Amino acid sequence: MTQWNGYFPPYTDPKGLMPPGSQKNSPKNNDNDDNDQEQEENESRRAKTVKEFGTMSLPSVKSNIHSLVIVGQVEGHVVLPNQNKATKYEHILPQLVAIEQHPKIEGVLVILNTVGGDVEAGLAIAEMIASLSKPTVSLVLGGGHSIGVPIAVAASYSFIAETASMTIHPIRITGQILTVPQTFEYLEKMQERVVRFVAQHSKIQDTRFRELMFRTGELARDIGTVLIGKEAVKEGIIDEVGGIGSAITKLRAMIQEYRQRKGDELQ
Amino acid sequence: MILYTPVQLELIFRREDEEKKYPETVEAYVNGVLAVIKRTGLREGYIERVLSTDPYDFLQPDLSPGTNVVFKAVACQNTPAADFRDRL
Repeated sequence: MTQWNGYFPPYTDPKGLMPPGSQKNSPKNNDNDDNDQEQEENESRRAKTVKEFGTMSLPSVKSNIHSLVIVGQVEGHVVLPNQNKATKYEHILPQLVAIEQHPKIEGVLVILNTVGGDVEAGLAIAEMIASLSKPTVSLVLGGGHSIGVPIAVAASYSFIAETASMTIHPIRITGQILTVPQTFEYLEKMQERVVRFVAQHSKIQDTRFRELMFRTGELARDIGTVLIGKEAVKEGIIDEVGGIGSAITKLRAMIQEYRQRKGDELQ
Repeated sequence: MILYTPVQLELIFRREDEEKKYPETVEAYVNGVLAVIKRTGLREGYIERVLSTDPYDFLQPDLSPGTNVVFKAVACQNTPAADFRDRL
């Protein structure tokens, strides 16, 4: 922890998020008569902050690897009740845009510990990750169930912890059910989106994935399969068993490669 | 909406009266970083989760989960978003 040395740097908007000219210390505001007074007020406010908390925020150090943490339920068009831990797509999607756009970010590590969730939201996140031009590595910890599977395989390279599990099961309906053939066809279509995405972005065949989906005798309350650690690798869904160390090492190697390729393009 | 999850739906959607037991969550900027805050009162709460992709943001001691924060009202004239980020 950094200890306060009695010096306050002026607030300079380390994230570059403030609109231009809005900073209190920017030269544009210098002709303002109230400026000195305002600054004084600022100083005293900062002093108060430090007095109350005893710590000062660390100088902003930038990491070239950013991590996207997807935990709990993947929340889509409907807000889930308060007791759910959820990852919202309105947070993740703009973050992915920012990652793609930011010149200092060179790679993304996707950390997954999810129980699945909304199909549309999950597929949206998965498509965004898959279409990033920067190197992406995913790491499944704990669980990467249901809609977590397409998100895990969306990264260019995927890891799974030895104890982590992935549940593959059919999509069931929530909400209104019409007992007409169209309902079945609609569900089949939704499921096809997931199956196709997983087959396209990993080494598993779609027929094999469907086989795992409809296997009986593995799950107590459902049909389907639970894959643990290296079983997911054996089936070709995930590339390698590993943890955070191997994931970062792989990502760094991919970033090196990416830099070289970009350098070659420029020449 | 189709939920694709092994979690039973009864666990995801609880009865309304049970829901009141859980505190309201809001999002706010703390030290320039977007965080999910659980409300404990009209103007105070504690940090539940940091919504950032920058791993170094998680090293800020002020942003550790459970830290109490106070919401601050800010006058709207020439208000940069940063005013909201300053903690009281």
